[in-house]
Amino acid sequence: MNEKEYNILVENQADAVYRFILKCTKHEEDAQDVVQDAFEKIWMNRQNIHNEKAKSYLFSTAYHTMIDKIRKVKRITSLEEHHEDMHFYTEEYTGTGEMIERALNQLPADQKSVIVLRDYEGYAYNEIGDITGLSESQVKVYIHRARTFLKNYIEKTENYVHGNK
Amino acid sequence: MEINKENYREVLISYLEKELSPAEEAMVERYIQENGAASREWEMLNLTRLKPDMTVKFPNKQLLFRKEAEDVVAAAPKVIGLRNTIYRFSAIAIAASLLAFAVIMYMNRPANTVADLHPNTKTTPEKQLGSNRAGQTTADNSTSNEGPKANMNPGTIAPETKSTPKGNLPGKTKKDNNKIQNPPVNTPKPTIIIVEHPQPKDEMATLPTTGGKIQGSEEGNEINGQLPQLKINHTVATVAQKQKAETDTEDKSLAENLFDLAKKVSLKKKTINKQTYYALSIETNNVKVNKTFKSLTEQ
Repeated sequence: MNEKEYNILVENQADAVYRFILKCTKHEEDAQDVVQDAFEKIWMNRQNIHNEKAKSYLFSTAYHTMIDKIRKVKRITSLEEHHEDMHFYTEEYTGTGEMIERALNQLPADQKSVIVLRDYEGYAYNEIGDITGLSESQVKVYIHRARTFLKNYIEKTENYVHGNK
Repeated sequence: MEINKENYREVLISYLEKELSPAEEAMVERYIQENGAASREWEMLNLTRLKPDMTVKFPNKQLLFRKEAEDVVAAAPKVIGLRNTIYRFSAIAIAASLLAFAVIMYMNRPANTVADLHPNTKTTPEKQLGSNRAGQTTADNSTSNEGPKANMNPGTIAPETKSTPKGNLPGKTKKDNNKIQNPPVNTPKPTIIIVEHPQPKDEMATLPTTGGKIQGSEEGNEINGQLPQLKINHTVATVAQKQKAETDTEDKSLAENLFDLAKKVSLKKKTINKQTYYALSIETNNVKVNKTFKSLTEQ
């Protein structure tokens, strides 16, 4: 990857990778730092990166940087830790978009990442596996679990809201 | 494939994820039409599809663009032997750093030479490298350990820095029967001066400056709970010192001592729209902090 290709990557993918990281971290400054770090690493290693793999490499680098950061600050807690709080979810319910957002934020970081990569970027299971270091079957399981969780969350919320009307 | 009440939820997810063959898809579509519960399930599943907010953009994208020319500076640390840390400065910053090195080396050599050639020469505490060289001077033998340039001006040194026993200075020769032990001194050591600011990055142009140096503190999320307050100061000169220290295997502890909070420091200078910015990255054992400053000056 040369200078021109790197700068094209910045132009074309900086926003996308930022949206991905921001969605997962929910923290603008963290997301900006992660993206900057990822591009920095790519620039430093550009001579070893094939241009056709650059986008995947960028997302992978950003993902792992983010996971490291999450592990350090533990800003995103695990799904299990949040189960007990689910009865609060309806109190601030304002619409499907926010409901999904709240549900998404209760997913573990890895499940959240794979479903965002899937829906935002349209990556295939194997591509998500390459980015995250998970196996293809793990990716599939995580996506199925995440969909089920999101669906159940929506379902329970709607039942609660309708039941209280 | 068979679809029934036990497996239709899982099958619908597979359908949503386009994991099925065309024949299976047709079967699922038929099942949805004929089964109310499946239809409701499918409606809910469709809500789980995430849609990116395309109005969200990375701010300051210009900071990410790079030029090969910037890497010229990266070669400088390699030349002097830095292996693990790469500092990249602009051409001006390199010139300044090299000049600083030259001055440091110039100021070190004569002092060490004099001390070695004349073991009885005593030096004032102010000329010693802080309390790094804490110890006792023997009755007959002592030596002068001049530090980097910044040490020559005690006024620029933070007084709160702790002292640590230290070995020889880089390039120093030690005679076998000549124990080099320096008296404990209270001379403050050079300190890391990292300057942080509370503004978000898009407001960095309004960075406050006070008394010839940038000041500020931040309790950002990155350091929340790790370091109660990362308030360090930093100058280009101390970066240069660290470079020098790390190039000398005998002087590792000097680097550690100078940067006891910062394990890894890099400083980049960028010019965007004729405005110069300094991107400072500080990595400690626990956190990595990236900050951008409009100016970076020595105390």
